[in-house]
Parts: sequence; C-alpha cells; structure tokens
Amino acid sequence: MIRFLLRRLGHAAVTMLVAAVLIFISVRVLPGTPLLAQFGQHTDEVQMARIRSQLGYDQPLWKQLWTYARQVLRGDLGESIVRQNESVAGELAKRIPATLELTLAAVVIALPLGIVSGVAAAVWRNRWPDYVSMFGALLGVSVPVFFLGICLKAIFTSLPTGYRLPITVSFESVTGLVLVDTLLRGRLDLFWEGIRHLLLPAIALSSIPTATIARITRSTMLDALAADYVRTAKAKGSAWGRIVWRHAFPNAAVPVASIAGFQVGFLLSGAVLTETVFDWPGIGKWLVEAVQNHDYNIVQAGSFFIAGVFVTMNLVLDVLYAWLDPRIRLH
Amino acid sequence: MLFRTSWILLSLLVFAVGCSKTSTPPAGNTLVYGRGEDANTLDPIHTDIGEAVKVIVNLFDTLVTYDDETVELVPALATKWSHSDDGLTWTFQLRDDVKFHDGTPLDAEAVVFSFERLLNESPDDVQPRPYQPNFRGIERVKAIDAHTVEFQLRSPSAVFLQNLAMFPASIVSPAAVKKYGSGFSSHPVGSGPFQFKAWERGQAITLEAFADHWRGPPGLERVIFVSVSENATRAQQLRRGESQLADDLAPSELAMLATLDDMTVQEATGLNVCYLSMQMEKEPLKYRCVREAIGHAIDKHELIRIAYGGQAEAAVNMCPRAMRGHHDGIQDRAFDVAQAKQMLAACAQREGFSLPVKLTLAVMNEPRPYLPQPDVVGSFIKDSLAKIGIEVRVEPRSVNQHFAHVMAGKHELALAGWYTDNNDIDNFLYSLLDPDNISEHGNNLSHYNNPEVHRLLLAGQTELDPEKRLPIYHQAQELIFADAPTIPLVHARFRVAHAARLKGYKLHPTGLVRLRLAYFEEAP
Repeated sequence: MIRFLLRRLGHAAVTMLVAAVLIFISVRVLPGTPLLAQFGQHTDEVQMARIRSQLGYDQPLWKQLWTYARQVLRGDLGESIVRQNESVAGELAKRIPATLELTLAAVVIALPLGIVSGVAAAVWRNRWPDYVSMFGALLGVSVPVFFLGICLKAIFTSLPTGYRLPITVSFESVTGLVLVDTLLRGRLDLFWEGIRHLLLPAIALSSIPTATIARITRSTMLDALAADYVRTAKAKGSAWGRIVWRHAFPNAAVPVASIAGFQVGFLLSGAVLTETVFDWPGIGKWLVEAVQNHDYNIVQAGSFFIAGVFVTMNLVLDVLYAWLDPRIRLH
Repeated sequence: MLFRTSWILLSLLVFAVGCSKTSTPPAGNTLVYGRGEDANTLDPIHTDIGEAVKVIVNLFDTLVTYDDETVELVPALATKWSHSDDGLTWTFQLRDDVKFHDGTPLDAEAVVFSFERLLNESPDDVQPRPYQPNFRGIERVKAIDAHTVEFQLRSPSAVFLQNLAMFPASIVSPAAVKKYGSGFSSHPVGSGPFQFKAWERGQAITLEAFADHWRGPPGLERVIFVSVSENATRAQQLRRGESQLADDLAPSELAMLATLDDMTVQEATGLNVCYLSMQMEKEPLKYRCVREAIGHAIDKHELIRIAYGGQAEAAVNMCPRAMRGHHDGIQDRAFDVAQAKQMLAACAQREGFSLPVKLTLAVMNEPRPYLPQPDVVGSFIKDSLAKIGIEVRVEPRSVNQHFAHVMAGKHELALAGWYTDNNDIDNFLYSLLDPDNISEHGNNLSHYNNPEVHRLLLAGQTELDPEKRLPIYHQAQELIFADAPTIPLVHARFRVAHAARLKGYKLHPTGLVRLRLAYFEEAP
C-alpha cells in the first residue's frame, strides 16, 4: 500500500510539473502581451521596450521559465502585471474561499437532490417520477448555466443579483467563508444575507452536477434493485423503504460517490460562467479577466491551482478505490 | 414521494429566503455607481483604462480644469497663469488654502514633485505611463515660492494648458507617495472632493466626502463604484434601488428605464470619432478614386439607425463636431451607390486593377465607447461595399489584438476610433493622421503621409494664438477630406441612467465622471 501511494504521488508530481510548463508556455505563445492591454491606444515604444526588457519578455522562453521557476520555489508568486500592486498569492488566498463556498453550497444542493430524484426514478421506473426526474436531468445538463443564471435573476427578483454580501456592508473576514465568518462573529443578520446571496449562484451551479448525479444514481439503483439480495429481502418481507435505502442504495452508492467527487473537482476549478453572471469574486472570474489581459502571473498561478485540484482529486479517488478494491493495489 | 417532497422543500426555502426583507438600503447619502469593470490602478500616471479614470478624477485635482458643463478651461488649483512672449516659460499662481486628504498642504513643491514623478521613472520601473509622451515637452518644473510654479518648455506648445487639465497631470501628495511607494496605486491620496476609503479588488471601490475640499464639501457622503459585469444586471440593480447610477447600458435597457418615473436617462454627444481606416500602402487602396468611391458607398444615416439605435451623429471630419477648430464648411460625399460603382469601375480601368476588388475588414469583437456594436457596423460596411463591386471579408479580433494589428498597418480596411484626451483638435488630427505617427505602434492607421498636412499640423502645435490656429486646422481638414485616407463614420452619443432623485450630476462632454456636484434630493 505504501509503495502504491508513493508511486501515485510520484505520478501526481510529474503531472503537475508538466502542467506548469505547458501553462507557462501556452500563455506566452498566445498572440499579444500584457503591455498592449495596459497602453491601449497610447502606446509609447520607448517605455514598452524598457518594460519588456525589465520584465524579461525579450528573453528566450526557457530562460523566462527558469527565472519564474526560481521565483516560485522561493515562495513568490509575483504581482499582477496589469492590476497594479495586487499580490497574486494574496488575491489567490482571498478568492479560493469564495469559490470553495460556492462549490460547497452547490454540492449541498446537488447531492441530496440528485440522489433522491435518481432513487425515485429507479424505484418508480417508467412511471411519472422517472419521467419527471429524467426530464429535469436532461434540462439540467442542457440548459446553459449563464442562461439559467439570467433566468433565475429575472424570476427571483427579491434575491440579490451578485456578490457575497450587500456591497454597503463592510465586514472583516476571518476564514474567507462568509457563512462561517458571520457565525463566528455572531452576526446572524449577515449570515442570513450570506445565504440569500449564495442561493441563486449555488442553484445555477448545481444544475449540471444534480443532473449527472441523478442519472448515475438511477442506473446504479436499477442494477441494485434487480439484484438477488433485493429479491431475498422482499421474500423475507422487509419494508419497501428499508429495502431501497438499507439494501439497495449502499451498493449503488459507490459509483455515485466517485462521480460526485469528480464533480467537486470540476466545480472547484472555477465556475467561470456562474461567477461571471453573479459577479462572484472567485477563481474563475479572476482567471478569465487575467487571460483577456495577458496577465501572465495570475494565469499561471490560477491555472496551476486548478491543475492541482484535479490532480489531488484524482489521487484521492485512486487511493480510495485501492482501499475499496484490493485488486487495484496489487497490480 | 421523497423526490417530490425535496422539491417542495427546496422551493419553500427559495420562497422563504426570497420573501424576507430585502437587504438594508445604503445610507441616504451614498451613491452606488454600477459599471462594467473594476479599475486596474488608482494612480493617475499609470493608466489608460477608463474605469480607473472614473475614480481618479474624483480623488485628485489638476492645476486647471474644465468648466462644470463645457470644455472651457477654468482655474482649479492654479488661480491664474501667464506665459513668456516666446511661449517657453509658463508661471502658475497656486491657491494657498488647499490640503491633501492626509492633511499635508498642497504647495508648489507638491506640484513640482507630481510632474517630476510623471516624467522621470527609475530605470527598473515596470509600470506604464501611457500619457507621459504628452508631457515630454516640459523641460523643467520649478517652485518659485510656496505658491508659484514655473514650467520651462522645450518648444512653444498650444496644447500645454489643455494637457494640464488631463488626469495624468493630477497633483499627488508627496508625503503619501513616499509613505506607500508603489502601493500608492491602491492608497491614492490627492486633494479632490472625495477621499479614498477602501478597495475590494474586482468588486468595489469606496470613496468618502472630503469635507476640507477647497471648493467646499461635495454633495454626497459616500460613493461606491461597483463592478457588475452584466449590462442587464446593472439595469436590474438600478431599478431595484441597489444602485443609483449605471453606465454602459444597452439601448433597449435605456429605453425601458427612460419610461420609469423614478429614473432619469441623460445623454451627451461624446468627443469621439468612429472611422473606417483604409491602409494606403495596400493595393488598390492607394488610389484616391477607390477611397472616394468607398466614401460614396456608405449611408451613414442608415448606419446610425441600425448600429447605434439613432444615438450618434454622422461624421464628416476626423475631429468631433463640438470641438474648437472643426471645419463646419466641408460638405460630405453624397451617399450614391450608382456614382460610387461608376467611380470604382472607371478607377479600375484607369489604374489597371480588376473587379471585383477583394479586401479584408479588421474589426474588434468587443464594444468600444464610440462603437457599441462593432460586428453590426462591420456587416453594414461589408454589405454596402458589396453593392459597388468590393468583396469584403470581416476579420474580428479581440480589442488588444485588433489594435496591435492595425497600428502595425497590417490591415486593409479597419474599424477604429478615438476619444478625446485633452479636448484639443491636435489630439485628433495629429495623432490619427500625421506621418509622425506611422510606426509599429502608431495611431496613423491608414499610413497617410501628406507633407503639407504634416507642415500644417506642426504649425498648429506651436501657434499660441487660438484665432490664428483656426485657419491652420481648417486648411488641414480640407486637404485631409480631399485625400480621404479614412472615412469618418460617426460621433457616438453616450448615455447613463440614474435615480431621478440624484440631482446635480450632469454628463460632461469630455465623458469625465465628476461627482462633486451630485446630491440626493429628499424623497417627498
């Protein structure tokens, strides 16, 4: 098991390294530079040449990569190039909790809703609960998130349209998670505001994972309900609710758990559209703006973080599988 | 059953939360200003980005400024000024009652400090100074006494005073610059009507009234600039009272807001121009008859109706109509497809190129203030030119890519535009049409090179008598019109919507967002 773990860790490290190099090169071979974004139509060749050489953009790529790698190894992610005086590490630390909170809220909605409707669809197969929940799932995966977001804003007009708290409230954060911080400070009024602000973006963001989980749950539950032990349970006269939730569901839950885990990684990687529609100050929105401005330092740090989330998620799932299934770790 | 219960519970939750009391409204005297994006810096010397300028002009003062409603220059930090006969030495008398937000006095030393900071960067400085070139004509700035400043110029300049009213010439607190260093960009200290309070990056910038402002305290206690990326959301927030002013809204939203009693929609003709550049080094655009034919083929009034929702004026010259020096006497080329087609055919025969002509049209894929719907304008031009025998292929690029492409002169046809920096005609004609600005990053996109126009534009820069400047610029505009290096399309209007109880705020022709006079009327 230890050897297996070490090997997987090694794989993960190599993946991260390759990802870092690819990210570094790809932002630089994109046409355009951060200087164009800053000077706009008021370009000045003297200054641009000086700044280019100061920032090392006139150096060969491998040399720039080497300089950046040494800087990062010293623990310095640098500053934003376009947004002056913004530390990349500091901003990353502020934005991760925002994305995390939104992700967790979406999971809190998606997991129970997806599982319950998936189970219902399997239990009442080819009856109306099945049709309703599978139609809902189809809608969930096919309605674009930004469109859903705009619709939600238009329907629930008394709910806030963006941000994590009312803009006129100044609130000193502790953990960066609004719902935790407001409780820590005993501000129940702001806790309530935090939920109100979180609700629409979380519903919009949960649409795809809810649908995915519902579909997976339905198909695994159908298998489980057709299994011999369910027939046995029925034969010995167990209650129907007990058969569904105690006998069938735990067996159906393993693939659901892995899909849900993957969805969390997917959500954490920055719900770009949701964050933009709801002006949610998270990783996704930050990264999109940075790509538009060719803000290399932000793009590198942000993309590397996302790569990290995926690799970690993969690693955790692999280890979990190995723990659940001895056949894998013996290979 | 379980499935249905959970749905009911969820909708109940949404309903319950939705019905609860809406968020606490801001204190009566707070203006929440909704705009599309956040600022990148609040340091006046380091930005070319409009969203930054909106905040900066409320934090800082300049030596001279524009009248509250017109573009006339009026005294601000300087009470009076004079220049030597040769136009090289300018002396400014400063007010003696001005304090920065940090309490230090604004004196001649602070003015000298601010200009030296703008002009002299350390070699390892990596922050851009987009407007530094406008001030390079200043050789030396000197404090004569505590309240007198003298500028020594390298050559006489007709636009020097105009430039001093620009935001990069803002006077900054030397004490604060020394205290914060490069952090000044997020801790700006000036002497303007509002002082900096807080900045939540990517979200909101909060300013507070500066009670000791030399013109008296402003009418608002607090201003919060909020970035809200979606137009529709900005309009929605305005209607709900979450914000009291919103800019960059879509025409349909403005039309809807204009029908509401508690909303006001203001409009003003901007000092801008949107034009079609024709790269004159490219075949067959190098022939004047081709460019003239293109000029006859575009129906500017129809263009305004389709692509601007009627919110623009047809342009004849490359400078805004409202600008001093604009030549009102030039008659635009008539829109006449038959004539244009005939001209092009005759031209093709004479110069020996074949029809149909194939050209590319470079457009940006994001809106600009002078060009809210670049794609629509692009298709309009494509359709117009198709009728006279020019096949156009539209090539969209991101704004930065687009300008890099056209500034380097790699295009054939291109959509471009300009809005005023210092409200002087020189800033349009010299920047956009003088051979000095043909380069890898120059704004003479058409690579127009007429030695006579060059001579006139240089003469206009050094002529200090405003009356004598007029004929110079009139003559230049006549030559430019005849050569047709560009087709000026429109001067776009800009509009904002705000709560009707917000009074005292008038859109300024420069587009500067100056909130000093804004206040809230008591609700009846």
